[in-house]
Amino acid sequence: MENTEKIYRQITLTVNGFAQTFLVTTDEILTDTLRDKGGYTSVKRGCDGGECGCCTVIMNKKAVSSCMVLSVQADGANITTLEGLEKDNQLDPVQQAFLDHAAVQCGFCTPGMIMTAKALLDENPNPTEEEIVEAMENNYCRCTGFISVKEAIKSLAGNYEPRA
Amino acid sequence: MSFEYYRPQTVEEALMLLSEHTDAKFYAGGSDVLPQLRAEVYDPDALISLEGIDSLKGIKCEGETVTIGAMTTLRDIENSELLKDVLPALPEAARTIASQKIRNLATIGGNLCQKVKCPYFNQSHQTKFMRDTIEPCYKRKGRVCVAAQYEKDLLHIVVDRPGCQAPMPSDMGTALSSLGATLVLRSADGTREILCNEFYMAGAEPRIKKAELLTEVRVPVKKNMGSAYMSYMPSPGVFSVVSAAVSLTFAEDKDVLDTAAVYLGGVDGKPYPAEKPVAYLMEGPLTEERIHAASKLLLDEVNAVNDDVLFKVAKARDIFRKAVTLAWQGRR
Repeated sequence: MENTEKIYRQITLTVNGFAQTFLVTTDEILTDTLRDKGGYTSVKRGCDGGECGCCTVIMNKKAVSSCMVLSVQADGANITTLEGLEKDNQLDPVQQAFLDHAAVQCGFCTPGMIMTAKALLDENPNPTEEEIVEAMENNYCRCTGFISVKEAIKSLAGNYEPRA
Repeated sequence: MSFEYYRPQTVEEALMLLSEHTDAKFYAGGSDVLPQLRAEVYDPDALISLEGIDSLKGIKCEGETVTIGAMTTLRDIENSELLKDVLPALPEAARTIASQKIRNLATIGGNLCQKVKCPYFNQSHQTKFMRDTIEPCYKRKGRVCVAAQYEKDLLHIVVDRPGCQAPMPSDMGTALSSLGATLVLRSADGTREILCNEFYMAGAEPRIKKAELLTEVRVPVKKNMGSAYMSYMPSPGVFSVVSAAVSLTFAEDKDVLDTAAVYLGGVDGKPYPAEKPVAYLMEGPLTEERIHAASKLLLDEVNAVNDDVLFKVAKARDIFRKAVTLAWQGRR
């Protein structure tokens, strides 16, 4: 290859409320920065193409596939990963609902599912079934446990109170 | 792969950075450029992110024109009450693109200027090692179209055309073509405007020069207008196999058409104008039977060589009927 010498940039991310500085290459994706350099292993690298939703994080209040974001692009952003949901030994309502409805099988897709569901509920606390399906499309579960996930989110519709 | 990354604050700064590099690329939402980088279609020496340029964002309505900044995300277009009201085809088209998580980042400008998609060229970086073993196609500076060596399939065009067989990938491009939108391209030498339906040449390449930046999209709003967009996707979140965008204006009298424009996506390398059915519809008042009859004229020149082509034509006619009916009922 012609030019292989990596170019580095220093970026600041606010992950789960803590400002952190990372040294990243310009072609690094946010998934790798969070997972390998930040240790936020809930961010899974799945399809690597924005299709499977396993790498979903909430960036500036919006759910995004972190494999479709360059780390340098996210400089200065406010990021929430699954690790940031639990507070004072209390699970987030979305996590609790997933637990109550046993919406977990192998668990690989679960962090992405929970983050997508949380972004949906933060934006629209009372989603209809169609809105849930539309928001959760492109969150693949290869154990095919989609029904219980839908039930879990539906149980929160209308009585979801986001925690500060 | 190694590149500089810039985040300018103004369009002038962005154009200056572009001129300072030999092979710089503009970077909007990233949902098209990133997969192309992975598939090694692009090897830029710099990426110029447009995210910091606030003047490129937003949807405005001034008089008879709706102006959409090129950096407006597809999610904002999808949720825009203004567009839902006056140009419902646009939010509908935005909704069919990828998933919400992608639309949160992807922009209308990026969607219009995206690279053509073909499994033999760039779809999925995981199969790149397989593509390396086949003869380079037109898009890789070769002289064959690998898709043309096989029978026609659902992922490629159905009309007869030499060269690259990949369809135009932009849903917004199809919708904006039917609405008669104008794209504003800016370069260091000034600005130029181009109609959206002339923006693509065969092979799905946008007519944008290297030194140009798409800054905004202007959509005219007419009186007594109805618009709709429909697409057929085999599963959610994939590219449309075939899509139809309809824009109708009615004379004062109820069901008589004043103007009509229908464009199809997925059947040609550029937005495909449905001229014959539109000419038929213009001849008389709009009725269910006449929409049905018009749909039979759609793509009737296509040589149905196999079932995939037949399926695509049948689907195109089906969504043509639905989209025209929707635009007719949704008239304001």
